[in-house]
Amino acid sequence: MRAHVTVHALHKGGAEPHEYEDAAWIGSSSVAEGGRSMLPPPGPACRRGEVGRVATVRAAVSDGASSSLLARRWAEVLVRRAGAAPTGLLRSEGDFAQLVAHAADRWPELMRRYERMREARGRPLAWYERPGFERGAHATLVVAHFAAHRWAPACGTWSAAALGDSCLFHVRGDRLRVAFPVERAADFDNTPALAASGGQDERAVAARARCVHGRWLHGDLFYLATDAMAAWFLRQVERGGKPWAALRALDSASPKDLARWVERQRESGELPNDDVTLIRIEPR
Amino acid sequence: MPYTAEISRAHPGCLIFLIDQSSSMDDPIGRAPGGDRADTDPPLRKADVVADSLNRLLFELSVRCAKEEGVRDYFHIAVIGYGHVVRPALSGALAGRDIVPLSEIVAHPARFEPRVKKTSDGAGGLVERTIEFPVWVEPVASGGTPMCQALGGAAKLVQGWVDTHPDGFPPIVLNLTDGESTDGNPADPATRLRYHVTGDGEALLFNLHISSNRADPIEFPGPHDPLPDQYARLLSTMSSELPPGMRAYATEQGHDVTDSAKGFVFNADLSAVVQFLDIGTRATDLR
Repeated sequence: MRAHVTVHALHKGGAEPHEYEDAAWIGSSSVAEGGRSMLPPPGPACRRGEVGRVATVRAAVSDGASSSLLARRWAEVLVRRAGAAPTGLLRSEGDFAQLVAHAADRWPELMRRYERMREARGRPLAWYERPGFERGAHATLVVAHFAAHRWAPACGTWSAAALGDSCLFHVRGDRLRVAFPVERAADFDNTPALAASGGQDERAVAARARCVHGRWLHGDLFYLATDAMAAWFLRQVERGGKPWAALRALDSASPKDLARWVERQRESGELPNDDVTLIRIEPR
Repeated sequence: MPYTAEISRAHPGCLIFLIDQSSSMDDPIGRAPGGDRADTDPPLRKADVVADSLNRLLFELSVRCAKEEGVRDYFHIAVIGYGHVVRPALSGALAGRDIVPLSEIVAHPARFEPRVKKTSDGAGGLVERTIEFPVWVEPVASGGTPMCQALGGAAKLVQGWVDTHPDGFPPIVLNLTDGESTDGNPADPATRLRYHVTGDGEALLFNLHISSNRADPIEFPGPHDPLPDQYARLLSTMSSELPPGMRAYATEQGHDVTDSAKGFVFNADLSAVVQFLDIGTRATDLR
């Protein structure tokens, strides 16, 4: 299979690029070459590329909760882990909960290294950081996996798993076929399910996780987005609009173009002032 | 919709705490039957409870606004004490300052005191650990209760804030008192304080009555809920309704609040004071 992929990332208005707290991951694998992956830098970022002759494509986005001290680091751990996980862990809610648990297993060692790094730089953790450091970080996660049909050209299967309100949209022709896991703009709220770096009861995570699968055809479009962009997308659809048409303008956008477009949406009240992350995948 | 303005470093929120420092704050706080503390524990003074709750809130705000690069100035904060005088109540290097950005508060605690904290030992048990807890506000109990003067002083700060932040989240004034005003009826200055508006709504005034009685607190009552006396009714009338975001947060915390619930708690004990401060300072999501 081949796929055209674009990744857009932008931090909150009034914040610095390094304060971006989402994370995005895109990777592909071929039988001959093994896996390749890409984690874009903090926004503003517009990356695009074509992958060819690969067996699978995988993408993940995560939204680190702003109330967490090290939200972006945890979001990055989650998307890397989701990118590298065996496909089987995306097939059921219980398996996906295991994936989240495996990511949390890595956190204590990462934090020990982080604390040593801070001490080495002469900036040991301050009293106001210590409680947040000990509480850990929280983030949403959605991951999608695309595989080519074994012998038929330009079609295949896809599967996705999610915890929280980072979303996947599947568009065919001029119709939104799947909105996952949030189906209505009104269903976004301030209390999405979150993956916790400190570990969670796997059954509780499985109960809040969602899985979905389907088939893709040549010409289909898939979007993965964190909550602000996902809510915008659904609102446009609910008004009878075609957000994928508006987003086409971003396909060749520079980071400055992206920042201007997002700023216009924010000023008109269509987008809240939040980090924006959007991956577009066109498998062929 | 009012009370939805973003709180960010570019559009910070303003929190003004008025703390009663009259001589009656030297009395022990009431303890509801069946509360957390054993009846054999020595009673806490109301002044200690107020100072400790406020220090805990400033600590929690510092933690909530902490990021890798430091503490973000999502809030600017004033603490005004009223007793034998009305004056700023932050101690140490911040003494005499009224509205202070949170990062300065974080940088200048008056002192640290050791406190024992129980934390997980990682094996299902708890271990006791001593932490250094920052202190900014010291307990004071002296003189009368010049609440009208305190509300007037807060109104000046509110006016200055809304003039410079006309589109921001309105200032939140939290008044913690144990008794009746000794310098007149506070209803009028309370109304004048709430007259100050930003594009996002009028200034908010919440009142908390700290009790010497052994009775359960009355928390966030509706406008027509029965209250035990005229004084409670006065403080309730003076209080703003909780905005939707705070109502939702109060509900999350287990409170049964109606759409017109008042930002008012009567007969507060220690846990009610802490919860009141937590709910009353949850404006909107921080950006």
